[in-house]
Amino acid sequence: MELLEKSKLRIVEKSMTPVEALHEVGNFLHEVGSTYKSYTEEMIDSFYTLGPYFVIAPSIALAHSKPSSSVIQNDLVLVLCKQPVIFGSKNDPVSLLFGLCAKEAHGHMDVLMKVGEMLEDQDLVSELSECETIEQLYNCIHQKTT
Amino acid sequence: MRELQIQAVCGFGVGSSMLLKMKLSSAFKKINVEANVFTSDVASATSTKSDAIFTSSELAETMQARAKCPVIVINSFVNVAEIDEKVKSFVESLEK
Repeated sequence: MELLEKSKLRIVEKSMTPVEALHEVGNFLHEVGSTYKSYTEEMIDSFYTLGPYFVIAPSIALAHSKPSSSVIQNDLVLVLCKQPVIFGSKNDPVSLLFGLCAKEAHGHMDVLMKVGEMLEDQDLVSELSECETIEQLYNCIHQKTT
Repeated sequence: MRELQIQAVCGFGVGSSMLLKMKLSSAFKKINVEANVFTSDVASATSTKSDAIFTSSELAETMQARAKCPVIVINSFVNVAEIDEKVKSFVESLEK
């Protein structure tokens, strides 16, 4: 699985509530053919029950639910929120909203590892947040990971 | 020191905890401490035997009361300096 190709990147200009943002990233996973719509609901349920724990670092969220029959294939997408989203976490506001789905618990190790390394670079995180086009976003991600 | 059993915990043990597990493993390696780092979900973590639980602040609050081992909050799962430092002070607390 290639890491964050152009079809897996999206930029949203409008402001979003946490639930709208989770809908956005959930629908994105569905539209690229990786989840059934029920996966989005599962992600939102987990936000209601467990809180914004998936906001894993300043300005970065990794939205996901558990492996289930709602997942068609392992995938990772990125929504760049130009109006950062307030999830109620210490790490708010969130600009980089990743959406993850996996068929089995260890199904996305290599991709997660790459993303994890990429996001250690704080300069890159701010660079990504400032991108205006998918092209820029893609180049920004791939100059560092390839 | 024996091999430590370390849990990296997120909501389901499959997403952010996986990321945390990788960073924790390398933090223990850096200070030459043997540790078996494994992922858990928030529902089963406190009933699983381990030497420490590493997790986000939101989930830490829900586990703190039931946990039988230290629950250590990681604010940023991609901040290697923070993770290294918290692993180091946890290991030092064991040596006392």
